[in-house]
Amino acid sequence: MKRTFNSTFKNPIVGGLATFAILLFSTQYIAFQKYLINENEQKKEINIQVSIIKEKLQSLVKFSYSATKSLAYIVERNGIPSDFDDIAIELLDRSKYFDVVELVDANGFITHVYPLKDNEVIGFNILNSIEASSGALATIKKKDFFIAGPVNLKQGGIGMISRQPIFIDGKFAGFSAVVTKMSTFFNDLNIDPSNDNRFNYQLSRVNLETGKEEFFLKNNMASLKEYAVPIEMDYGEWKLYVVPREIPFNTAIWFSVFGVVISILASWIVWYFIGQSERLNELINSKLIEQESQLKLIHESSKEKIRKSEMLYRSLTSNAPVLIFNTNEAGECTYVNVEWFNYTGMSFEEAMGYGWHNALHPQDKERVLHEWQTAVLTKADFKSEFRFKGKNEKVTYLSAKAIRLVDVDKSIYGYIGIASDITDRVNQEKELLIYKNNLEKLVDLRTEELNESKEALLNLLEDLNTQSIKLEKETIKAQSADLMKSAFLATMSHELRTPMNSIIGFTGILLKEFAGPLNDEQKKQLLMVKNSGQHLLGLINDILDISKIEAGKLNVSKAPFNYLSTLENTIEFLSPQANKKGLQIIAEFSETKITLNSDERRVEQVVLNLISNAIKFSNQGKIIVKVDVNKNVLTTQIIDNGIGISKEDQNKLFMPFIQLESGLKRSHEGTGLGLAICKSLVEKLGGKIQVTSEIGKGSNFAFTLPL
Amino acid sequence: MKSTVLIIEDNEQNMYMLSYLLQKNNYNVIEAFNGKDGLDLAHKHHPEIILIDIQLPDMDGYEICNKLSHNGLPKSTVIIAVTSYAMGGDKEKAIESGADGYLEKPINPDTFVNQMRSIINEKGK
Repeated sequence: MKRTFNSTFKNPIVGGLATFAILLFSTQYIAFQKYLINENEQKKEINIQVSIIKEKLQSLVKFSYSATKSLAYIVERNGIPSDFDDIAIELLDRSKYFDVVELVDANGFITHVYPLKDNEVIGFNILNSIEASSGALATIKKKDFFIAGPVNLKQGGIGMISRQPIFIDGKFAGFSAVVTKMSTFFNDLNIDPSNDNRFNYQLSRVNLETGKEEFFLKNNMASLKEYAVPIEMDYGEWKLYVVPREIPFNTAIWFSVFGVVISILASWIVWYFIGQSERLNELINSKLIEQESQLKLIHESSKEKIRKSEMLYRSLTSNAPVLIFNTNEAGECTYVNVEWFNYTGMSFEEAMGYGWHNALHPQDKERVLHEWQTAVLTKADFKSEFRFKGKNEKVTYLSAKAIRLVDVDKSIYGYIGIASDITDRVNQEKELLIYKNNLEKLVDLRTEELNESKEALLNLLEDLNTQSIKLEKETIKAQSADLMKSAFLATMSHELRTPMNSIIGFTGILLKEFAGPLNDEQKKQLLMVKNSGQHLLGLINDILDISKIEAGKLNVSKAPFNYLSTLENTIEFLSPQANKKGLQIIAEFSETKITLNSDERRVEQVVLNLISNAIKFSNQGKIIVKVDVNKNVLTTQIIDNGIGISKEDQNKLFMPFIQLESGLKRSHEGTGLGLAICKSLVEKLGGKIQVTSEIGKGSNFAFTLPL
Repeated sequence: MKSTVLIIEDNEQNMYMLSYLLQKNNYNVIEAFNGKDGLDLAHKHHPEIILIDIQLPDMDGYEICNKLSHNGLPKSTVIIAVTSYAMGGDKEKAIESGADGYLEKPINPDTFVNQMRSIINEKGK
């Protein structure tokens, strides 16, 4: 039931409608109450008006009574006064609503009127007037004060006439009368500032003879019967109408409208949010269903996996050629495989729990049990070697190992163990032990013999040790000397070059003759200085290079450049030197342009060195500079027809500080460093350099560089 | 109108040589024997050309190149590093530091001025 209720309320339309109904009912009820309160207040106000007017009317009646009584009294005592007008003025002063004062004789004729103006009624017989007569007759009949009206006044308008009968000597002698025009009275009410002009008025009186309601004012308020209030006054049945000029708007209506709007809004919100939560619920439900089905899939596939792995495990354990067992966390056996039965001859039931220990060899039983229980208690892995004694009395040596089975929450839920047959190994070890014992005896014998020769050997070793220490010291000395040499040479070369700059520079400047003209002899000598300087600088640079190479500090920086133009420049530079010796340098290039990514200065240095050598060691013929490209390898050959190099010398050629003809005849200047530098540079740039030569026929220096 | 060359060089003989050579080739020469003076004079006189020896006692020549090329000198100022032979990588380092070109020591009086002019023309482009 509860569910039905809940779901009914969760229906957005029902929820919305219910909210609408509840809110609408309550707001409208409140609005209605408010309406009644407003209404009541208005009625109260009208009642106040009514009672004010009633009071005023009553006082008007009293005044009329006293005024007419006074006049009647004068007439009764002194007869018709001669100074009627003065008396009338005095009477009119008593109330501002008195319009006219009259005297009527016993026959109904009006004898005196004040004021006369607009009141040409003297001689008019009031008893003949239908309207006036009934009131007048009543007065005569009752012989008492009576109010007549509403009466259409002669002077215009509707009035109320108060009449007092006059009796002289007990005999009816006429009326004294005061006429009050009621419109004046009500106009005055409206002028009253406290009244705000908020109301219209009407006064009526029921004609006693006709029973008809007659009105004192000429307005249409008479039709608004609902505003008529009967007022208690003498001389007839009076009704007062107090009609609000503007029927005030009852603000409760606004409240009602507001209530409707609120109800609609609130019910819409309820409808929307219930709908929203329903939609959300639906979404969640569909997601849940989706997930559930996915989970089911996963569950099923994992179940399948588990089943397969179980099968694998079962077939593995039952067919394994080792003993496999499984225990719970208390160390009680829960499973053993087929092989286990083969070894022990026990049945499955016999092995379960702690039954397995009956399979242990009696000598091992206590130890192994202790080991096993210790492992279980300390939650450690188990490892042991022991013997099984089967039911057929067969003893086997086993090596067993059991590892803890750990759950996801890291608690141990059992052990799985394997035991393998090591009987063969144990037997072999036993045999080996016997062997070993024999051997030891033999060894002891031999050791004695050896000890004797050992001493002799020790002496020899000591000698050797001293020798090797000596050698080591010398090697270190030599190595540091080498390093020191390189450092010294590098520093020296640098220091040497600074003055060389001055020598070469100033010689050059002098030769430019800025300071004045030189004679031929001076020029010749200065040129010699300049050439020597340049030669010396070349030597220094060579020494610097080789010392850097030996210290491993030679660096190259690669950048692309036009190789052939570098080569041509070098050839051009060296041509004068060659021509001087009658030699010709010929370029044989296979390509028209070769862009080489290498260290231009260093490559130039190599080429310059090789061609210079060729010039130096040739006295005739041509020097050919040949360039080929093959599979990304650039080969440059410098071929001369010079003196050539012998096979033995070719091996020493690229070693530093070696000039082949050293000592004997120094016909060729140079440090002997050039080729060693070339070799190092070419290798540093990723290439190779080699020479082929024949004494007396010439040489071919070839080097390669990667493109 | 003569162009002005600021030479920053610590070696007196080299300074004399460069100064003499340039004066003979119709240049105004300002001499600075260390890096600090060189920087001060450069900012004071705004020379058209600055020759800087890379090896100076007080300051690295590259540092001077760097400071000069970034510090308020007219953009047209030509900065030339004078490097020593066999110091591999000097030229590249000089250009990286903001030099417009480099010339090598020992200077060749026959070609030095022409080489300098070709660097100036290159920059002028």
